[in-house]
Amino acid sequence: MAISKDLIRGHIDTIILNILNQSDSYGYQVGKSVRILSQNQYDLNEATLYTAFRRLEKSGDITSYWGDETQGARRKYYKITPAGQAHLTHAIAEWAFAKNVISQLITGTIAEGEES
Amino acid sequence: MTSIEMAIRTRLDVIFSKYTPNEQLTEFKEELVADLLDAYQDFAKQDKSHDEALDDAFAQLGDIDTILRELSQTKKQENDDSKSQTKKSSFFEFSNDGLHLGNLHIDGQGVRLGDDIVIDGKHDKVQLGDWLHVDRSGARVGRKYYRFDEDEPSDTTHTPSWSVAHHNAQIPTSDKPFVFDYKNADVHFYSNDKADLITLDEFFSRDNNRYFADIQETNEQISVTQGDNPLLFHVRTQVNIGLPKDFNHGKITMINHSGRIMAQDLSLQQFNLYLHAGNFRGNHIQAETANWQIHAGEVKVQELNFKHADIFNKSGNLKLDNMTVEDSHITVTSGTVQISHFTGGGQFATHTGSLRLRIDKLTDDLKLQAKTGSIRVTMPESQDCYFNLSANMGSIVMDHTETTHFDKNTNSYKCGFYGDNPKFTIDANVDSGTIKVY
Repeated sequence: MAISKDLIRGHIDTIILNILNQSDSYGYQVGKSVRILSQNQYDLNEATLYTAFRRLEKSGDITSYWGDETQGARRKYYKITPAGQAHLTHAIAEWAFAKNVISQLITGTIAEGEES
Repeated sequence: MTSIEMAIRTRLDVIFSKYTPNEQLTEFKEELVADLLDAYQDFAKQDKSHDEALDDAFAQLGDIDTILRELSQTKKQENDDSKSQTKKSSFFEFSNDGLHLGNLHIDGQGVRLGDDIVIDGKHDKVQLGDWLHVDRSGARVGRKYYRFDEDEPSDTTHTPSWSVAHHNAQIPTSDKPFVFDYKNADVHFYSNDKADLITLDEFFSRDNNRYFADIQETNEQISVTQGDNPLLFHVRTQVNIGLPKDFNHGKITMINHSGRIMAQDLSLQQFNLYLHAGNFRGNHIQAETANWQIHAGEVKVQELNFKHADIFNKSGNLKLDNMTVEDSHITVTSGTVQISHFTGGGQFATHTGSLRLRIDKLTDDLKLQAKTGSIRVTMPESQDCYFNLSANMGSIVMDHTETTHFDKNTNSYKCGFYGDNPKFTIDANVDSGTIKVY
């Protein structure tokens, strides 16, 4: 089973915030974390990832800084801001509420004679 | 600068050359260099050559044109204010918020030493550098990941939590073909502990006998057909089909119009699949013949071993790992084909999409075709062979050594052989696109 783009679209920012909330990270590693967290069920395209980083940086949810790698190229790390953490907390609460309702709406059945 | 970094930069230069340079683009390019280097290192572990790992690293990047266009249009903005905000905190702090001593933090979030050592009770998380990560869902030690919960496809014989009705049937095995015909169910094939019985367990989210499958035997076949399927409301259905471990003469045909199918540890004579919309996931499947037709869906199978395989996917992706098929006919109309550790021969075709094939060993000729798209092939490690590569519109790139002999060698047509003792031929053709051979 694969998760469709439409289904996950609204959650990409939250996914990234959740990962960055655990530690600062850079693009490729965030992509890997998505794979690990989803147990290989979901692959976030890197192009999508970079677009999301830009969006989150603009909205003030994350900031970035350059690492001080001594060898190889310097990595650009992303860090969640207090505003981003607040958004994440809100998004998690929203999800906890919505997932049950949506699940009910999609799979629930109306018992015969039930009315309100 | 290493030669790898140089190669990455050169390729990026080509991609970036379409855009007017500005600060944002330069910064983004630097970011990409580091990430691509990482990706390259990962691919280099399994890929044979430098070039191949480089192509794979760039392939997983996806389409960055949109973001490049965006960045090339952004004006430099006051982006310095964010940096001035990060205030310097003092070396030692002790308050109700917790204890901070240099980069050692003990507070409501747990115990952290820099970013490397994290003990976080609230989220049940322990992390030691990049090497050990343990949390509720699993543990990652080095590069290995261990999952704690047992939500694996292997554990499919349990009753789903939403089930309110259970129908169980046992059918003696037979040389006649078995046809399972479902409209919309989650189907799990697994190997049971019986010697000569097929076990069928159906679970439903509503309780009514008329949903139960109907089992019929005729002279030609034994059919198991999904029961009534109400149109007005949805009845969730899961079917677990247990087959004897060595059902080597078994002929199974599974039809599912929409829904998913999982199969694990099967050893059969014939395993056919018709899936209209949905996904198929398999692990360790062995059969003489396999005929799979998928209309729109994703197919992911590990360890498959067939004599003849006919796989057709109209739209969707096909990912096969550890595939041994003497005679393969693989066709994907629109979508990608990714095959790793392939042993065998046959035909592979995509109409629109890419074909990525890593060959372990050839046991027959191979014919590869992509109408619009790309073909990328990794040659077997230690096996000589002939090659015949042509691109009607496009180009061919090939790694060659002193043992490569060319009969013809142009940009769009290459034929010849590798080594002293070639036996089988790899024939590849693209209408418009590229062929790359490593």
